Amino acid sequence: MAKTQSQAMIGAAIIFAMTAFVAKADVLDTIKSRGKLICGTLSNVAPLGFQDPKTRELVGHEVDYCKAVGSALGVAVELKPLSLAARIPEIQQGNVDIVVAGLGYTEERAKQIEYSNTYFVSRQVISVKESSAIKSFADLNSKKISAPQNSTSAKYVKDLLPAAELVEFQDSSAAFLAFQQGRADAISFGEVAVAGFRSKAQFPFRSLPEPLMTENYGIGMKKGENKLRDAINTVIANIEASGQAAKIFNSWFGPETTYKMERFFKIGTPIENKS
Amino acid sequence: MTFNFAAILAPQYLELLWQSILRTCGIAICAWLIAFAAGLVLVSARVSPIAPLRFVVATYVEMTRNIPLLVQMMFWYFAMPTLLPQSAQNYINTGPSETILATLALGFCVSGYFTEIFRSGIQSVPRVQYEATRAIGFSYLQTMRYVILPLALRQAIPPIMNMTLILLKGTSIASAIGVLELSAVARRIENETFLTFEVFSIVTIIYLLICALVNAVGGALERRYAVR
Repeated sequence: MAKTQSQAMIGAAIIFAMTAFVAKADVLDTIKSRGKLICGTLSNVAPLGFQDPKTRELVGHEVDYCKAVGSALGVAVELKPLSLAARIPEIQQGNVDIVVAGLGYTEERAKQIEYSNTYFVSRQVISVKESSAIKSFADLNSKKISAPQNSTSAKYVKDLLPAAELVEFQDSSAAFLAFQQGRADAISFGEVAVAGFRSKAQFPFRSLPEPLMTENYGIGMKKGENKLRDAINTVIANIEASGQAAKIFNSWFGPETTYKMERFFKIGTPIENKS
Repeated sequence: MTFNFAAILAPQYLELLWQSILRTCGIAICAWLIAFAAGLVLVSARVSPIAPLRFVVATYVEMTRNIPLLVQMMFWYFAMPTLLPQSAQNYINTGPSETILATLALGFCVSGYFTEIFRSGIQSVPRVQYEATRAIGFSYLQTMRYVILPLALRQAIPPIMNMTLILLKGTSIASAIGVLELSAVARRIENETFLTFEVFSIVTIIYLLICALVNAVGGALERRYAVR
């Protein structure tokens, strides 16, 4: 009996010592000693992160940022595709070092994870059919607005347009289909998704002039990893200063691409949102 | 690991959960009634002496049983309305179309299963019952209505209850087309609070309670209509 008890105590002491050790070693040191950065990203959202049909490799705007951070820290990069819903749990469980996966800033998320400074700015817009009488947010009262489930697009409709009726769909294409068929009067999407659907849709639609929200994307990491966060903020600032950020933006969203978007922001600003 | 159930039992979430419980039960009850009524009509055709009728119903049953419920929901919501004229589509779009179409999808899907359950019940009724009823001058439909189906349905209560539980849980698939039923609300609350464990434990208990209620009704029916 006494023996089992002392064994249990030793066991507990070892576990305690291990947790203390894990808590002390910070992720930045782990990345450097491992020589590899594990970067969670997207694999099915063009042009943020998707498989190149020719090379079968993961490419995209977010992938370029994974690589930029890796090379600035002087380590190799292992890309880990994540589903949208898995992004925050994977950070919390420590399966990935950082997440660069269209992670928009929200106060609720910021309580769970650490955000870097902004590396991308997305305007959330409400789109309606060309023929629609809806001209402004005020016209949306008691109208149906479709959005993908559990997205920030859905969240902002809930928070900022409480008089409208939000209908959430399994994914962005289902939400768009419902809008196309008139099941919903309007759709809430990020600008990038709107541009993507505009090239595919076979009917005219327009976005309301005023953005619903300007959403800042940040690189996500485990809560309390201040050293890693500061290192990444330095990387982001350098990428902007060297002009690499503008180059990455233009190669995926610029006038040469099907998106034809203007870069209206600079990266590296603190991440708090403003509507 | 600390749990924070209080955050989920806040008034705004309780209201959301309560609404979703009502919607889940409403969809389940309406879909069940559709399935039961359609099943009775279909099974009468399925065992009728007219061969083409039997073939049509058998095809329908295979369609509903062999296509995943999610695909059927998508079909009813996205594809079916486009077959209608524009004025009918506009009418559909003004109402709570996602709830109604999800109910129809679920009801007609389960009606296929009910048809087969009723058919197995009918086959358990000895053939002489049918012959004797016809011999005393009942028409085919009268025979079904007054003799065969009452006997068959008693036999069928346990598998009907089984299917009812599956139907009840099938309501969760309606979340894919934007119906705010119980599991959709669970995910919404989870997304707002990140209290995954707490939300899903509460929702699990709610589903268990609803199913226990259904089981109690089923048990009572079984005792009331026991085959003697």
